[in-house]
Amino acid sequence: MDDRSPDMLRSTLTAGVAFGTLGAIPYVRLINISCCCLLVTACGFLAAYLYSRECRLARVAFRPGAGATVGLIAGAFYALSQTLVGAVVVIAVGNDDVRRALGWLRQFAPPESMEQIDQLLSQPDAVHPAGLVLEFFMSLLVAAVVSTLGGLVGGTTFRVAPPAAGPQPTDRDIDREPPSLPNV
Amino acid sequence: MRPVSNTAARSAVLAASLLAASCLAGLALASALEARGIGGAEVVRAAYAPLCHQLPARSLHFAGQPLPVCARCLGLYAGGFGGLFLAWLIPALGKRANGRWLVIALLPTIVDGLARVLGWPGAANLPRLVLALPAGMVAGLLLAEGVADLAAHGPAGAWRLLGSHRPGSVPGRG
Repeated sequence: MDDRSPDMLRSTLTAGVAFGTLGAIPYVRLINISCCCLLVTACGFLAAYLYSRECRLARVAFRPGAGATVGLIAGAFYALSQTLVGAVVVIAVGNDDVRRALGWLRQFAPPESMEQIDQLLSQPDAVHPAGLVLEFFMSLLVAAVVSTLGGLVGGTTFRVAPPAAGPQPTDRDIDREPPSLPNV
Repeated sequence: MRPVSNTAARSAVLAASLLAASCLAGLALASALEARGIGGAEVVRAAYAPLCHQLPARSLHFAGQPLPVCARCLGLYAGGFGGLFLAWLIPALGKRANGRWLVIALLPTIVDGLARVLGWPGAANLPRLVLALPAGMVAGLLLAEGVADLAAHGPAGAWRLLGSHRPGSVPGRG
């Protein structure tokens, strides 16, 4: 990565907060459960896309390795925002979507799954500080792996080739006054 | 970007495909342990829990026990392993994979998922696994390129979270 590389904060924060919030919204968050952590993967992928765009504007190379880093940082923001927004959602409306989905699944579930579903349905909706911390670290662990993979795939997909080698402007070139127009 | 044929990069891709293979082996291990009544199956199953709903009705069975991930996830993992392994065998293939391939490979899984959401009859477990294979494979190929790049260059400059340079600014000038 070269010295002119743009900072990663804007792209990682945007992707992390956007998908972290989506991952905490009732019903939408079920996408994570039913589609192999799709929101977490997409978080890393989007962060890589946004950062590649910034790199393109800054005319610096964007490698898949940088995509992995961007995905990792975006995953951390994802975990933080999902935990915080998720706590607010549970306080405000409870886990209604999860309960409804489990109730729906219960109709089709084979007998061996009944006990598992009933156990989940019997859990009360509450936010405990210790549970919140545990949830954050669990979310962080998953996001660190899955979002990094998403970032790595995004980094390969949106890679920006290094600019063609040419004479680099030196300090003297930059300090030099622009040539004045001849007096006519 | 350095080509995947670089020895270190190829070794990294092989290591990644072995890691993917061990993830697949872990799935069979959980079911086998459970079938034989040996302890530890719950721990292995719990390791996969954050990644999948693990509903037995939506999962394939091994040794008479449901695998710890659903058929679609199994297809993605198996495809991912296949993609990584193919990229190790044929490095040029990894270099050719791109975003368009990924979109096309994702289509069968997206259509199947949408069919379920819309209430249409979706695919059964085995077809669902097959539908997810291409997406996993292309993701594996792209991943192989990323792993190769990481091995060749490392995550250099990785922690420029709050760098002072904005797009368009001149480096080293206040």
